[in-house]
Amino acid sequence: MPAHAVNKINMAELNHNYRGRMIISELEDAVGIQNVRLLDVDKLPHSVDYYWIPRMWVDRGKKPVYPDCVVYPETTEQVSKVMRIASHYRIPVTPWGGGSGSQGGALPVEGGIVVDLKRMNKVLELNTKANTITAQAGIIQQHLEWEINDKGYSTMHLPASIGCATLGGYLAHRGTGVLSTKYGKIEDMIVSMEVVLPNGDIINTLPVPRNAAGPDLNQFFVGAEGTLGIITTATVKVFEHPECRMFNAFLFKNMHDSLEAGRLIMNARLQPTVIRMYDEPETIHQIERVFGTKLEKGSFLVFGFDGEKEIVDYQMKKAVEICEATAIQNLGSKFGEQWWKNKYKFYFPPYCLDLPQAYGTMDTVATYDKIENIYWKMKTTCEQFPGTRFIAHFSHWYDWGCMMYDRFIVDPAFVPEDPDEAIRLYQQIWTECIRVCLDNGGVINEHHGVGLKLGYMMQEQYGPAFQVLSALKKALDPYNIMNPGKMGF
Amino acid sequence: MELFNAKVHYDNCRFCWMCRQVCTVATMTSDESHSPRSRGMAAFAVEKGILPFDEHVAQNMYECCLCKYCNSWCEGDYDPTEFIIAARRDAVAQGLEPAVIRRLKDTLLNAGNVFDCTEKDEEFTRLWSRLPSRGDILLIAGSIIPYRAPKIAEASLSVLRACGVEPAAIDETTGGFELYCLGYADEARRAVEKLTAEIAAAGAKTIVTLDTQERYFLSELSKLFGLELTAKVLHWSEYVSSLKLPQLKAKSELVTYHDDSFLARYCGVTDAPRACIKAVPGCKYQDMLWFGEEAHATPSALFQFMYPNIADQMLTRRAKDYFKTQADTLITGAAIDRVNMRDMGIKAVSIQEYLESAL
Repeated sequence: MPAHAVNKINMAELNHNYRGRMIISELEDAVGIQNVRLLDVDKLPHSVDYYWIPRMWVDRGKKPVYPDCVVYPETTEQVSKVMRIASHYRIPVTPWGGGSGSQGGALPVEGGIVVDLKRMNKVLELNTKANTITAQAGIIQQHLEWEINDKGYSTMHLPASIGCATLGGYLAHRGTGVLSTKYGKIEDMIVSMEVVLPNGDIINTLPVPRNAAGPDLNQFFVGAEGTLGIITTATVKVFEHPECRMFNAFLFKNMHDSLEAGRLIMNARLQPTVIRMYDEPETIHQIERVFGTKLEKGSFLVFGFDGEKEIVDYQMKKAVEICEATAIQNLGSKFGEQWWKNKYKFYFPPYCLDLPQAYGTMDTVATYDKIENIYWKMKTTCEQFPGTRFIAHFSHWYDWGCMMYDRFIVDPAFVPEDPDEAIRLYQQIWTECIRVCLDNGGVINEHHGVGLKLGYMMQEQYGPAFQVLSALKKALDPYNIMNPGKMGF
Repeated sequence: MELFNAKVHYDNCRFCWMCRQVCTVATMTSDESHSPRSRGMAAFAVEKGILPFDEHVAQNMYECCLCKYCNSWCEGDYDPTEFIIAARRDAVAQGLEPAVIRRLKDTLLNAGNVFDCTEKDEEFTRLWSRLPSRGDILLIAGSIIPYRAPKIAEASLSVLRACGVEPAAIDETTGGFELYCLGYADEARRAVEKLTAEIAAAGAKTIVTLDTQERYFLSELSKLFGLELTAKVLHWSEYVSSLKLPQLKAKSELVTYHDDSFLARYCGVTDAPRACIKAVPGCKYQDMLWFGEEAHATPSALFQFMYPNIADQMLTRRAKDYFKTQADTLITGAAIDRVNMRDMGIKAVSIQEYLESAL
């Protein structure tokens, strides 16, 4: 249940309700008539994101929850006007970037207004002295990358969703990219941002991210998933293209050995750009399938370094030495390059997970002393469900631990046709697996966010600490109009 | 509905975002409902009865420029244009197509081209009427050149003659492919049947298209219309790159080439135009940042008449790509690109005109 109810105008009766029509006129005045959409053909794509439940719902022929209208503001001031209108009438507002989130974070589950930010897509400044870029939050990340790539720069934020997700979307849910092990997650890349609060006020965080001027306002809004306000502009770090980027791949006898090799690389502070390690089932399921190459049974690990060649050569040499001590096969740089080239291919049909399977990514993160145990506990729990298998890779590595991108896949024969029953099974798997994860030192998520999917676990995860988040939410959004139903609010 | 025959495509596109960043129209408009995912979802929702197939869904399916960038980007080779064109046929069958589309149909049926020109350029007509109507090599001028760019026909002929080729030509007027793209399947088929009969009567072994759209649809007659041509179909650049060219004059300017959607993405022809360009001694060639199958799309003549505002944005983007190369001249394969880029003040020539200038 929401922490406090929304007392909203019934815009769903818009066509029969002159007051609703008057509010739409206000929105048209705020953003322009051409930027307000009321047709079902526009509402439908804003009612399904990458989350399995709404996809399954539509797949079963059920109408998803539509917003009452979609607006496309082009400026921060327009966002502010929309928020003032929504705040006045207490209408739910759901920010929408690319809509590619897997947690249901952008779903307008209580109707109301979807604020689609993709027309706020301008690059405002590339600062080559400070190595930062400032852009409107609705820019698609790949467009931002392309804009600066030919000037010799990269944000180094290269997630699989790069082509569809927006800068604001990444900030809103603490996204991460394939190069995070060296360059950080999006919360490490943020310098400053502009946010429109639920009451319509426009605020800016401090101009630099490191200071001793109180708690970090950036981090209030990063990961808040639009429940505290709408990020409209952001300044993030950029990096000059490295002189070289090199990869090497290994096959280990099992996941334990490859996990340990990854830990040793991190403990040696070699600063890899990326380490990605696949458990044995995923090595077969994904690596062999995408590469079209048959491997011996084992666990695939690839790492890469970038920077000045002389340094990279040294880093590569040391990392290869670490892996060669326990690996069963050095697959070499060619295999590593092939992985890099195909890094997004896993997410295209027919290579990605899709209906009629039921599936979910339960990514978590824990310290090195706990992560392998969490893997086995979650795997055991998950595979108790009939027709369900568990696969994982380890994508983002830190000095103290690593992230596990673990997924469950339920064979179509075991997924109920009845959508209500399918949801029941789906939620049971999630609840039991996440609970096991929490009980063993993990957290509910590492980089996909909380959204609708995991909101119900937030209190369980945080315990009494959740009151801090709730108090912040109540102070900024007393009527819970901002993305209601998400983050446990 | 014909739409449902393209289920494999919309089923795989309906929840997939992986091509959004390259979708030309979605990039121009930043409109969620213009992405291939949204169109795929709309198609699926129609199948499931979640959305009625009404004029709004129909409108959505017309708001695509058919550049096929999505398809060429897709690792799974799914093709949204398959269900988009099928949906357009359904829209036509149910009388749901937008008014602008109906007007374009009338124009195409009346004039055989989107410009509503009932008379071809005099210079073109004079030139074409002197060519034999039968021969091994048959030139097809297409639906742009005779009305908007007759110099391309002249240049095409000059280069071929310099190579010792005396082609035949027919005075074809069709609009069939444009009608096909708009969803008027019956009218398209009738127009193309007539053209196919004229081509067959010419007895050619090789059909050489001067424009790029014709290179595609004449090669795919069987798939698109269930018709057959025994002759081989080549774009002019493909044919000329297979010939022994005469000694060409050296040129020192920096040039670049724009790969249009029909030749590059529909036909996969990217090397032949470059081979023609690079045959010119001293040629300094620079590709644009986005080239080949990844070239930013420019609008077809048809799309320009459908959605001129989006078409203008597409042209502006491509012009920016061109300016970044600092090239002196932009060379195009498609006649409409040459016309449009000149209208924007860019020094643009067709591939035929570029080679002719080196004779």
